[in-house]
Amino acid sequence: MKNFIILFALAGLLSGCAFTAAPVSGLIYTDLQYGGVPTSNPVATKVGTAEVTSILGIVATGNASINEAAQKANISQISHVDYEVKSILGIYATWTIYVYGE
Amino acid sequence: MYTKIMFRRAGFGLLLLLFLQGLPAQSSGKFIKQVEQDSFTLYFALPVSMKAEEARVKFEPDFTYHDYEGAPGRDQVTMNFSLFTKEDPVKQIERIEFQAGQESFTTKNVSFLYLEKNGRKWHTRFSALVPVSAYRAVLEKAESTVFEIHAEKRTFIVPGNRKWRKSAGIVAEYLTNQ
Repeated sequence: MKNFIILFALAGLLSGCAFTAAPVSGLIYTDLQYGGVPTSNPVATKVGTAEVTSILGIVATGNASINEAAQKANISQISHVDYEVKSILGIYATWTIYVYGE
Repeated sequence: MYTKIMFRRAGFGLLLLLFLQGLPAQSSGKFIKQVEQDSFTLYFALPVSMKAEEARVKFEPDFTYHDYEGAPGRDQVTMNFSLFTKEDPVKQIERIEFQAGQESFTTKNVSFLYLEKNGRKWHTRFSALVPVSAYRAVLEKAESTVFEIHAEKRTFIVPGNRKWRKSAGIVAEYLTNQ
């Protein structure tokens, strides 16, 4: 029990570190997907992805821009965008963007 | 005494962390995305990073497939991939050979997308069309998959790693239902 309290306290402390923007987040563990606003182009035959990572909020690297993801799949007309957030104890977090289009 | 308790707590935390890290491995969403469109389904096998036998070269392919009737490339899978090199950048690829057990497949339709410098690494992005039948064969024999990338005067040998085998097993299940 004592270990759990310590772990929760530690997770709470660290979750502010490796921060990722998400509609909801878990103190210990986060693994969720959510969508962005769709465009007027309904068809998607290509998918591009890009990711950023953060360790303890001390080191954060990557490029998860829409442009980067679209460029990776040679997308010129975007249909919609999805996001994926993963975080473990606030120690390690990733934020991934998926761009769908033609 | 105090150090012993601290070690036990750290060990417990580490075990929990390992457990939580293993959780997403049970989800197919880690390897493939399936998007329903009006008249077809789009499948996207997420990028898998693999090291080439040549030092300091990394190969990262992803695969897009859709069963869109009337699409010119319906019987083909689009393989977009990144090549990361520390030395000279790769600007052109002549062909890619997929070794899967006793079988091998070659694709020559490799087009250059872009080149960029990320820190000390060169990142080149390419796109290639692979017949669906070849892709399925490679997925089914993921244990022995080897990618041979023949670039200008250089050949990169990339054996499929553990993540590739894991991904292939799940992606194959999705595509065999088609």
